[in-house]
Amino acid sequence: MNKRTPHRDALRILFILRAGGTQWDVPDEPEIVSIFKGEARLLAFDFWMRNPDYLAAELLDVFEQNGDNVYLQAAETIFENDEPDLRRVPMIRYLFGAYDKMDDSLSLLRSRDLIRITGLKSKTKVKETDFLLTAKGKEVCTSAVIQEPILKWYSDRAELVAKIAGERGGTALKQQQYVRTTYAETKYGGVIPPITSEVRQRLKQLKETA
Amino acid sequence: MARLNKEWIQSIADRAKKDVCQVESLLASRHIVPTPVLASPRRLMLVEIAFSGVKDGVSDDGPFEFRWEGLGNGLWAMLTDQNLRGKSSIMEMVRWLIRGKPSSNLQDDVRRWVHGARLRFLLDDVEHEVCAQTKGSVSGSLKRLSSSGSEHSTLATFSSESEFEEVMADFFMRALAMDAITNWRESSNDEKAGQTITHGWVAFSGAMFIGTNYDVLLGDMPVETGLSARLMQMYLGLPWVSTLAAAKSAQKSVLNAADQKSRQRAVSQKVKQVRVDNLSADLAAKRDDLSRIPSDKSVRDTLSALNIEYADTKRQELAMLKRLEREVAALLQVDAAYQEARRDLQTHLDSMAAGAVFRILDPTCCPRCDHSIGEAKKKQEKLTHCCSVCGESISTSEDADLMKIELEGRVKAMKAALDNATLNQQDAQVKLTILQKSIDKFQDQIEENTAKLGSFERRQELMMAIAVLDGRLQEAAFVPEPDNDINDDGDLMILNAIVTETNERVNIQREGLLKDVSARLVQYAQRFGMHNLSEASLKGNANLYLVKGGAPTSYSKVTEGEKLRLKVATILAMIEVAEQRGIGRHPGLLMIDSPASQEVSPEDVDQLITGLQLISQELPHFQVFVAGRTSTAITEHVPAENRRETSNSGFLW
Repeated sequence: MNKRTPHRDALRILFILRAGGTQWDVPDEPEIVSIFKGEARLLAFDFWMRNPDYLAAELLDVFEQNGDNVYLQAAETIFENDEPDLRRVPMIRYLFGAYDKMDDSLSLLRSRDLIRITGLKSKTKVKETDFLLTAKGKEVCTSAVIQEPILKWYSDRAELVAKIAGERGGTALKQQQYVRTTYAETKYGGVIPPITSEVRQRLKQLKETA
Repeated sequence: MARLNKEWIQSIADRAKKDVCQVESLLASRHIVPTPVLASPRRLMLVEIAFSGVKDGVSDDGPFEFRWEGLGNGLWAMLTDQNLRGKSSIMEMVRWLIRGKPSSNLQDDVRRWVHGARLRFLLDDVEHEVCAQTKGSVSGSLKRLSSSGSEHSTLATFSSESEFEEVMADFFMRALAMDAITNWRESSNDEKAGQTITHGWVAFSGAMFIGTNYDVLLGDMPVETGLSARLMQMYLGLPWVSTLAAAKSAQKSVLNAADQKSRQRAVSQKVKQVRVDNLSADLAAKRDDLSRIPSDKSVRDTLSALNIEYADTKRQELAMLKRLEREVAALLQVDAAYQEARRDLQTHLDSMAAGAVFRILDPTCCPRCDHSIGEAKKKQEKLTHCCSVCGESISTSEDADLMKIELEGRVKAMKAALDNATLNQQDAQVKLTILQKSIDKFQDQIEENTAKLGSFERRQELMMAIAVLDGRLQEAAFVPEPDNDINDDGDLMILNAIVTETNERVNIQREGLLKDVSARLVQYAQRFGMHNLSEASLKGNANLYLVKGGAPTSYSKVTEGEKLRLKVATILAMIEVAEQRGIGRHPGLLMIDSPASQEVSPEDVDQLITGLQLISQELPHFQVFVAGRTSTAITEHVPAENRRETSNSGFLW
């Protein structure tokens, strides 16, 4: 079923921008709440949102590094809920990694003044695109979850992705994502394939040894 | 005689219920000769005894010569005042020359000393001379001398001991009209039969010499030979005796052959039984072995059935594998479809929710150019339900709800399809596993049975061994038809008839004869001093029963001195009775050696000599030599010219 899902995609981006943004304290612009720096970072966040198996792999890595059961639990929940199947929204590999056109989503958010788009520009080239979350955008994030509880998954997942990504910028995150062989070996322009079974296997082993 | 023979043969044929021809044929083949009448008795009388040679190793060594001429009827004596002075040797020399073979009583040194010997004797009235060179080997001749003594004809010559014996035996057996005694000797061994022994001159001549062994009444053959009865019959001169002996011997031979055959049959039966038992045991063991090895056919049948089942199951497995492949593919497809349906539903639900959120957020600016949307456009949208930005119709949530129901239905259907596909796949998997287990089982069974086929050779070997054993067993168990030896049976019947018929004829004559001999025997014994002997009964078997001092006794129980006198009395009685009847075979010569041995008292000898002196006068053809110690009884009764004697420990030669 190839359906256009602009509103869902737009909301996902909105939750990402809220979760991954840093506080905006410019007195002149009280309606701006936070800033999310870089389109590459946004694409990296979106990749983990749309490919729960890859996120689970990251969670297992973190669990292996710090032994915190929360991460193991989170990965387990992903599989329990069949998320790699149900929540997967495929992305293609492009020049700088996983890519999708976000114009439609960003337009929807912008037309409702939930975000604003800014950036650093040279004379000929956009150096960095930044996304500003408006107070209204933040408000929508909060109210949408109340109005439509089904959307809470997006809110929670965006928070989890942000937790995994931390302060890292788009380039660092892309390099992190390139660590996955399957991702790295995907041809340019090809759909990045799922790694569900191998991660599930890894999870099983970790659970057995844990 | 011819008439007597014919009558005898006819009687036998009647008894045996056979043809005369058959009887005659048997008589010929068994060398049984009828002897209804015997030739007249011949008389033997020594005329001269001479021998010479060289003594060595004794006090009187050197050449010697003994010559005793002018011998005739009556009593003669060789006397010495001590023993070992050559009197026995004179007797032994006579015995040697008459038999052609020295007896074991001849001393070895005497045999060596004597280089030549001569004996002249009268057979009836014809003088004969046997002359032998005995130094080393033996050679010599037997001659008949003319009445003048000047001319002589050589009857036979001999150049060895055996020839000498043969010549003398042949001459005397023929001259005295004696028949060889054929006797049967039983075997001491169970497995072997007895055998026929022919006794000739050596046995007969024994009746002319009385040595110092008195075990048997007549002759000098040991009791075991069973010859006494025959010798007696022969010397009594009974007709039919030799015929009876030959017939009995032939009868025993036939019986023995039959007995031997049955014995051999029993032995071979025993051997055969052992072999049959062994073969049966072997056969049973081999059959048992074979029964443990499954038959090749059954193994091959089993294998072929297994192979068919295996192939069949293998085909089923292949089909099942293909089905499983299809089921797995279907499951994967359905699963993918199910996941897609669920994902679509999720997407749709998310989109509906997101749409609802956005619906209440009116656009404030154009997403393309960022220009604010004016109030007019907003009012227009409310009226026309057309987008204030692009003017397109705004879809209602009703479409989305319909879509939701459709998607939920799809998820449900896909779930059912998935369950179904899962079941199908599981079913195929289970069935496949069962088939594969069957295949493994068949494979094991095929391997097992193929291994059994390896025993094919062993089975073939066993079957071959059983066939061979079976054949051997049949062969070993074969009992041939007992070959009724009709011929032998017929022979036996005739022989029985011969024996019975001849025995009757012998008995008739013998009884009267024995009675007469017994009566004369008592008279002679009494004249030899046995005054308390009142009765004697000589039996056909040569047993002598006596009544002495009123008490019954027998020859074997009396003293040695009495035995000697009874021996002499018996011979004399036989000679006399035979003489009276014109039968009898004793040649009338008797030589008695050393009666003065320890067991015989001088009185006994005196009485014997006295008696002999009187008898020799009564019996014209009687010549007796006595060798003994010098005694008055002898010197009184034997005239000096009839004596050869020594005194002062001298030697006779």
